[in-house]
Amino acid sequence: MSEKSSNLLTCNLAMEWLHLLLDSELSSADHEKLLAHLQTCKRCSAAYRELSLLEAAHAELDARATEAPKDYFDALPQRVLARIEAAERPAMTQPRILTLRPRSFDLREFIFGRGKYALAFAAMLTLLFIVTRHLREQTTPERDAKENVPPASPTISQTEIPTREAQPESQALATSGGAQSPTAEGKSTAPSNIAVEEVAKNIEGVSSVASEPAFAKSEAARAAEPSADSEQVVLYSAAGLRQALDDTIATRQNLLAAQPQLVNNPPGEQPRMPTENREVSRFDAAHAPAALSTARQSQSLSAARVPSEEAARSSRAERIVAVDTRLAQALSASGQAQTQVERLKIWQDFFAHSKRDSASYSAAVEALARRLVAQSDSSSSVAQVQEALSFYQTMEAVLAARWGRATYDQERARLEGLLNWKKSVQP
Amino acid sequence: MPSFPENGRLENTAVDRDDAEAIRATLQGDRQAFARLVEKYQRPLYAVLRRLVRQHEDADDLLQESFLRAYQHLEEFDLRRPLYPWLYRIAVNLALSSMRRRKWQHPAESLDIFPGGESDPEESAASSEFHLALERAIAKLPAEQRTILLLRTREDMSYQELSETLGIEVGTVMSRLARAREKLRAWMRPHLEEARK
Repeated sequence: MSEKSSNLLTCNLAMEWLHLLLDSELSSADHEKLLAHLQTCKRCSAAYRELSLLEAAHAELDARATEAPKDYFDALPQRVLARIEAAERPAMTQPRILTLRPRSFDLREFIFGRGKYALAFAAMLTLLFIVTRHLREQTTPERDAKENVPPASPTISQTEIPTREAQPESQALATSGGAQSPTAEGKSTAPSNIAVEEVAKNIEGVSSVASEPAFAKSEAARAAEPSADSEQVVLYSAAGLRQALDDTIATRQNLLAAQPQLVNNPPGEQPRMPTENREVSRFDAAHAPAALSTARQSQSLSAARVPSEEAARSSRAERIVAVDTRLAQALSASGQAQTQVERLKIWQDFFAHSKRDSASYSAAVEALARRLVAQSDSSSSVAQVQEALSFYQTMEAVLAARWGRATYDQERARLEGLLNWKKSVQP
Repeated sequence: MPSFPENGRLENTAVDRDDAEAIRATLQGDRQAFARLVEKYQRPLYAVLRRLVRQHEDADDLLQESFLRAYQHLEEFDLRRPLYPWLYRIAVNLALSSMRRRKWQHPAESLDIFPGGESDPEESAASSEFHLALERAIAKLPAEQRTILLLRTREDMSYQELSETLGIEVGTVMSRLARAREKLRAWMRPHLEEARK
């Protein structure tokens, strides 16, 4: 630091000191030396003038900062409270794994924080989509062919599963000119009946499924039987497959509900489905319940494969109905609780007066677990995450039974990862 | 005497017993107690945020988010310390994150930096041009340099306060400030030469 002890400053050091001078961080002794240098150096002197001008202009900008709109501050406290309530409300009513809270986005935090799970999940969904699409493309020709085969009566367990090797034969059946396709006939009807025909076609599809347990089995088999592709579907996306099956069931139930309207049009009214179209559709009411039964069998096959997924998927409202009113009261009281301490006390009281093997006990455990995990994210404290993880570990048997082992392990792994990360960044 | 500066700047602040009581009440479930804290500190924090992010909508959003974060982490607050610097750091760090995220956007295209009228129209036009150029140049700075320059100039924070608020070494504070100013000087050179005439 010989330069500092000397009266002569280099321009580089003078430039450094200029900034200290602007920030009022330069000592008085160095101040004197700098001023002496500025008197002799035009370049540094010009820099000082420019920097000073910029500082003054910057300060002037600051002075122009505007005031808040009128009445802004009167309303802000209540708006903040509303935002706090809004931030807490979803945590009580939605499972964490399905919750996307509106929050500021930070790419680094996203990639290295909980975003890695989202990315992994997105990759899993993409894989599922590709595999499912691939399987569907393979089975569509089979389905088209099978729809023209007379109904068979064997049970699912007695029926052979369609294989890729059988596909050419199925296609041959489809193109052999046997029964005319109802779809093709439906296209020849009047435009005003198009919507009705669409329903009729769908119902026909239900009947076809009922009449072809082999195809129904092929759907179920993709979930339950060990073929190379279907194994991947089950392995990667049991929940997704379950949802798809449920959607199928719901669709078919809706179609069944529509059935009386189509079949029994009141006399004198515009028929919603012309007689000829009914014949074209070859709708057979007896097939529809069988279709539903078959679909339910598919569901039960899948459920047997992933039995605990059912509990995780069913809605919170359904579960509340299923258990006693005391649980509903506890849920309500917990939702209205102002603090975490108060909320935990409500659940502790509930657990203390519940049988461990009761449905309400496990539902309460699940509700509290969801609450705790919903509060555990990158902004949570170590204690919060630790609390959630401890509860998860203690209630492993209950939670794994309700959600399924895979979901439980996933959430627990997330909590453990989050806790490790929080500990690593904690000063 | 308030335990915080009315202009929002981080100066010497003292522990306020009323704050501690309000925090305890909040932790016991009294949200109105927290509303009183919001009412007390909203103006200085708004002033800070408004100076940093300029837009009222941004300042409003950041202010609400600051109080929300404070509420969520209130259990971690040390009651032996003054509340305002803690809130201040939350707000400033949120603003910094916000500015980082908006780095790729167009921060200068809707600046409302000249709300007041100027006395002399000609002077106003020249001044506005210079200040607008300066504001745009500041907006072009990297988020870290922009934030530290804003905190230094607009909040009048010392190197030590900047170091504590941003969690960086004092040497880093100095180098970032110097680099930010030199960039501004280079970008503003045509306007500076014009201003000297």
